[in-house]
Amino acid sequence: MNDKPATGFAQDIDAMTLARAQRGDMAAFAQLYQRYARACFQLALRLTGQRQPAEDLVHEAFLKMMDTIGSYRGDAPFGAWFKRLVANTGIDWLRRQRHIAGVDAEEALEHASAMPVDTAGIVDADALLARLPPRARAIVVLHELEGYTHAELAALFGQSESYSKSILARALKRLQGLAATATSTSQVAL
Amino acid sequence: MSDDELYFRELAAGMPAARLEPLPPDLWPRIAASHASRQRRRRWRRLATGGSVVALVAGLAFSLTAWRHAVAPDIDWQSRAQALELQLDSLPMPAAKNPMAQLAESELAHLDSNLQAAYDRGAARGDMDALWQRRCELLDALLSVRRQQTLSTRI
Repeated sequence: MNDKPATGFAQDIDAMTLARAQRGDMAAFAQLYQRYARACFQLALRLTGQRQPAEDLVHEAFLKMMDTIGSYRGDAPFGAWFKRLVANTGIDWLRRQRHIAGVDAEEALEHASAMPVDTAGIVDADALLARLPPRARAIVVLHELEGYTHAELAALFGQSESYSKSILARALKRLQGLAATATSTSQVAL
Repeated sequence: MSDDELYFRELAAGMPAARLEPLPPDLWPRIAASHASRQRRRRWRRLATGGSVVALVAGLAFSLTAWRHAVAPDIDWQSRAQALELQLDSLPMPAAKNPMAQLAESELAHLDSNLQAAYDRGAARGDMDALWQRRCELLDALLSVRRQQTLSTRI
């Protein structure tokens, strides 16, 4: 039996707080923020790769949640529903920034591969992810960490499933290369 | 599960856990303020929309009233009756009485007494107008009979 308390978006919320939030009660919204803001910020940081845009994304996602919580019917746990809302807000944000529409992901990965490998600062998986171009990073985060399928990603990005698969495979190969270099560099330094 | 997913999980597992970035302390107050401001804007929009609908309905009602007035303008039946009377007086009196003319004259006499009674009791303008309008119709009829008779006499 797993006694580990739920964290992040896996945390549950009591029905009373939820009902109050659905009536627009600000104190209930504050409770939802207390519970999910950190997970929301973490996902936003992974998607945007930068702190300030991540804050903006959290801001926008909470405003959207406050506007649309009335439509939440409880078919899925609230955390899962909210996580999807945050991820979709992240995709919209990336689109608005033209990080996705303006630069082709394959081109960006090609360009990144051609650059000299600088592994300084790669101290954890998130730092590793931050080295990927925005669209490739979003695909890795959503598929690998948030459980989106290739079909869903294809719909979100307006591309085919094979495109999403190809970007994911190339992004992971790039991450593998970066991780290997980072590991060998740190061993030399020691 | 695909090899790609397995690979990334293995890769992430081999690295230290990501450092949790602290949340900016003023983020919730900013979100709450934005939400309150959006709510206010929405309320104003609703009020403005409601106000526009009321203004539109009032405008339509006003236009309809104005249109009704334009279609059925106020007619001064009294002046018109007096003008018809003058026209009637200008025509020569026929030698023989026409039965239609007799009928109209008799009704006119009856109407005149009704009009007098209405004035005496201070009747409403609408009632007076109706009586004057009827007087005009009778005078019109009388006038056309008298014109017909005049024409026949000349021939």
